[in-house]
Amino acid sequence: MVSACILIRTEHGRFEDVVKSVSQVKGVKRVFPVLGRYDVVVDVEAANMKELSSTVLRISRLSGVVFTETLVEVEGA
Amino acid sequence: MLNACILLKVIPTKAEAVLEAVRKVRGVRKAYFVYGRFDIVVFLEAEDYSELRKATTEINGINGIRSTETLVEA
Repeated sequence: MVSACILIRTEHGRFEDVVKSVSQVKGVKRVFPVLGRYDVVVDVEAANMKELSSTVLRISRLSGVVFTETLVEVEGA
Repeated sequence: MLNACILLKVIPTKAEAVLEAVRKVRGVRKAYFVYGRFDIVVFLEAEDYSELRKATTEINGINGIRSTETLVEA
C-alpha cells in the first residue's frame, strides 16, 4: 500500500465542486478544503505506484483543478 | 472533526527520530516520509481549533524540524 498527499489549487471559489468530485475518485481516503497556500488537500492510497499515478492523473484532470503538487510516500522507509 | 495536513522539512540525520516523535502526538492519523519539496507529511484530526493548535505546537517543537507548513481545514 502506498500513500500520497495531493495539494490542489482550484479555480477561484470552486473548491466545493473540486472536493465533491475528488471524494468520488477511487483510492481517496480523505479530502478537505484548507486555508493557506493551497485550496484542497487529498490523502490517497493505492496498491502500487502505477495505480497511484493513475489516481493522481485522474484528480489533476478534474474540472476546477488548476494546479496540483503531489508528495508520494517513500516506500519501505 | 477538524482535519489538518502538516508538511515538514527536517534535518536529514534526525529524520527517523522526528517521524517517530510525530507519530506519538495525540490526533496524528498518518505520518510518512515523502519525495518532493517536503520530507514528512502528517495528517492530523482534532475536535476543535484549540486542540489542533496544541497538536501543531507540539509537532513544531520536535527537535530536528527545519520548517513546517500547516494547512488547516477551512
